[in-house]
Amino acid sequence: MPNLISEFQSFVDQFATALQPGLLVASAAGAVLGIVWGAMPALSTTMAMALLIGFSASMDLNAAIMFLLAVYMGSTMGGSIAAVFVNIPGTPAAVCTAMEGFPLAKKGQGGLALGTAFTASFIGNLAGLAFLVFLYPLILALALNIGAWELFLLAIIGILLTGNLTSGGHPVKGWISGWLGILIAMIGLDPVNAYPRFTFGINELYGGPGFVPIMIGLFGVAEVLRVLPQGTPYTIPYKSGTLFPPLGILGRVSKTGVRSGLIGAVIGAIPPLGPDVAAFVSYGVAKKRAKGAVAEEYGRGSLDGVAAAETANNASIGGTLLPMLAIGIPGGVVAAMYLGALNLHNVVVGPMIEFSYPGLVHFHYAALLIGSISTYVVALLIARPTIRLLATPRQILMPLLIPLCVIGAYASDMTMFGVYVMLVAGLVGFVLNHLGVPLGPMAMGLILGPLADTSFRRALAIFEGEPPWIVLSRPVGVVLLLVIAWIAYDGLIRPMRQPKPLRPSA
Amino acid sequence: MMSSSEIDRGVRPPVGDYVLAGVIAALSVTVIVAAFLMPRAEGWSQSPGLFPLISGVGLLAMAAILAFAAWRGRTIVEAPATDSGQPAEEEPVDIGRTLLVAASILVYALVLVPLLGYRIATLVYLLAAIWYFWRGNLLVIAAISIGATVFLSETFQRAFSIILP
Repeated sequence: MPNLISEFQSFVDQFATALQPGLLVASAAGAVLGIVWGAMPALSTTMAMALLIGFSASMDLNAAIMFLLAVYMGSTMGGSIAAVFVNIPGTPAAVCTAMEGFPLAKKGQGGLALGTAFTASFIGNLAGLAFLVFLYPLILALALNIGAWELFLLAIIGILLTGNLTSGGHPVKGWISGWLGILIAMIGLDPVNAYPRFTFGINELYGGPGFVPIMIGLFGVAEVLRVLPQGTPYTIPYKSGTLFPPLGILGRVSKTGVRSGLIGAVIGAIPPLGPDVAAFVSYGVAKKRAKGAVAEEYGRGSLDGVAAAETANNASIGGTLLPMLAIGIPGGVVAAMYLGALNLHNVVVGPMIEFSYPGLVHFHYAALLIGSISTYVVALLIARPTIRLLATPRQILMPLLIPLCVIGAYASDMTMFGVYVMLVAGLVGFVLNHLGVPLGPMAMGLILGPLADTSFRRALAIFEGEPPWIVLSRPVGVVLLLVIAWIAYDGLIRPMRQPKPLRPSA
Repeated sequence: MMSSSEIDRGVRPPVGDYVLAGVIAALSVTVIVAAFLMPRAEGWSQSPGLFPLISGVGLLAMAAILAFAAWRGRTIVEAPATDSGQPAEEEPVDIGRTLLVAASILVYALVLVPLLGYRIATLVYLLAAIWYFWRGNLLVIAAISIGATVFLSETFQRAFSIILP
């Protein structure tokens, strides 16, 4: 009980800190940027985080946390705007929202769908936070029993699983992407012996090529190269109507919201499933459990479906932070970028975080709570102007991103070297993307590569002189090895099960 | 029977996969050779080359799997995956326009910014890029370009205390 009281006291202290005006402004600014960014069909949450982590380095740690978490929540929430009004999900997590929200917009109920989506997102954010608060001590207790060998296996699982989940029918391409990320992460001084690896005599590479310029290149420049040459315009021909759902409708969808919040938070906590998978699973469950008139609405415009998807994708945010804060393994690609941002502030998360940075976890709770409120309020305030912004042609939007990318990469170390790295990463990312190689696993490889490297060598030092089968004496390690075997089996067998494609005859 | 348009959309000979597998295999071999050249005073266990070696071997195996899958004709062409893994709904790639976009970015970042400084370079780039790709009203293009340049440079210089390149 005294422990619980001191925990609560710590949270109250951190909450009071988070209420400082400067930090509230950082949260509100992050919410505005995130919502507008998420609403734009060509701009993803991943891209937003990639571009903004560099700038957050110039903020103090608390402001950076408030700002980036609000961007994360805001862009996930903002994805529903384009989904409802132009049937193009602003973020992939909003695909199900588009399926149910756009038919409502066509009936003139777009505002109602959007209001429901915002409210569901708010509920989802709170559900994710509750999940994080209640499960963090449990996961932390487990994490304290995890050794170097298990950390290495967890890092490999995170990278491989991201590959399986992001590469459609060809998981090996996802794995290749993850492994390339690991190789890039090895550039620079070896963390154990300070031996320069793959530096080719270039002094700037001794500290590594830099996480920020590579992320900006992969998710900013490569995306501009992909989208700008296209010319599809958007049209927004529908009246939006009210943004405030009646209490009756909110009551009706609240049951779905509670269930979806739980699904989203649990899925978010499993690296590297994230908002996209959470939304799909939650939507699927809600559709299956719907009865009567509610069931008949699915596919033709269902507020229940919108609520299920939006609650889950936002609830997953709290979930993704759970393994990241407790073990140091991010729950998804965006969480990996957030982890990179914390690293820029010399914060190393993991089981020792409570000792190294007392109160930081509680500050995260406070930042998530305030961020949930600020994104909800800001979303309701700026929804209408943002809907108008949707009409901005890509041919204007995309060129505007390039100066932002350049200054973001430059700001990472205040030299043009970061810009060169960004350009190379952008061109490579574009080519890889065109070849069907997803880029998300590369981000995971980049962030988890050093952890895998040092953990593996520490494990070898611990096991020195023991026979190889010593690894089988560690139950957690055995379970993790089985998980890796299953991921490899799934990745290798799945493409073989696909029907052999027909080839055009000569 | 599939129509030619269906065939074009759904399936293509996996040339790209062969090329990817070849490049990755070459990269893997280079990494493995480099790993062997790294010092290992106390054997492999604490050598800086250990993890590069393991990664290189793993990558080589993945390249082999990719090539094998392509050879078996199992490659189903999907729209290029986005960062989230969702296949992007795409128009076909216009190589000419893509090269133009790439060239404009390279000229802006490698020539204009070092030569003219961030502000003027950004203004010139935005004017040219938006005019070429959008073809809208020149006054609107100028207003957007000037507004964006001032907003970006002032925001980052003053709010984030970043010295402009």
